[in-house]
Amino acid sequence: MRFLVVDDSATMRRIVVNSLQRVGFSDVVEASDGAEAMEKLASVDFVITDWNMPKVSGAELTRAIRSNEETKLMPLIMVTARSVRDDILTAMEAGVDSYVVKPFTPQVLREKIDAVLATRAG
Amino acid sequence: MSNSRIADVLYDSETMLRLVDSELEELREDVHNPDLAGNQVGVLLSVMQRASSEIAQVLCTLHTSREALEGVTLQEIRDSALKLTEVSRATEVAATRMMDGLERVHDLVDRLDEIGSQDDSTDNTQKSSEVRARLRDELFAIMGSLQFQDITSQQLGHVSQMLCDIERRLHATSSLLSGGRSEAVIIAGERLPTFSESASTQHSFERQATADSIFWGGPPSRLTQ
Repeated sequence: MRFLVVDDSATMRRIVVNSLQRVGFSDVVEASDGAEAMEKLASVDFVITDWNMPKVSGAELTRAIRSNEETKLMPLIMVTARSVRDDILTAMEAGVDSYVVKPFTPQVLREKIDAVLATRAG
Repeated sequence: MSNSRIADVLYDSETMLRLVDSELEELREDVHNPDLAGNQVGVLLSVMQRASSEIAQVLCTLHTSREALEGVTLQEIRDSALKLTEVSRATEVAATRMMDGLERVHDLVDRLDEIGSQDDSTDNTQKSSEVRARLRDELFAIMGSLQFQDITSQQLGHVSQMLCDIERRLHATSSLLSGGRSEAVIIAGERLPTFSESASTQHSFERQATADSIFWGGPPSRLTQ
């Protein structure tokens, strides 16, 4: 399974990529914002995106993915520092499958990935 | 009261004061003609009454504006100070965690050296394998602590945005009071905010539990309880 990690912070991208590798997912590609992510969607199976990014935000990226016939079923997790209730509801309405609050641990990320995949399989 | 309304009132008041000044000038010229002077005094009194009313309105407006400006600006400065304190605390906590982790890493490396200097028994092989696993955990925990960089960066972005707002407000006030002749320069340009006001390194378990309860209708995460 190939993951796409989208975050404008290079440090956070490395942390998410290393976290994925740590929990057993080593096939990862990266994008530094939503616009770059759109170009790489065709070659990935799972998206993990930040929210606050220049050009195209994580929420906008999610809406774009859900409105595209070819990508609308793409599993997607938001990993973000935004954690007020309204933000979480907005992400849910945009079509995010699960939500991870920064700072996070690899175990929490793995748990959400498994839950999303189980829901899709079921 | 909006800036344009304040500007209108200031303009009207300035006009009124010019009119008073003009009437006083005419009165000064006609002071030797009692009939003309009496007429001018009547006009002057009427104008001065209107001017007084205008000035009172201006003062009231300035008072209200000052209170509003003070209230909003002081709150933003307080919020900025709180955010900066949190940034300072977050960097200290992260640095302490990393330092503690590095000290444990040193101990584990010493332990590996110690095991390496002993015989190659099955027991020692097992021990060194366990120490290496703990070493990897410690190194990864140190990497995880680096998440503070992204979060504090967002907090500083929020503070920066608040300071820009204060700067704009002060510039607008300065420009208004100087008749648009203010030479203050807005140093920070408009930019798309890429920060979260709620970004924090604190209470991450509770915040994750809130997200879980919204997404999954309960707290499914055994790791966040």
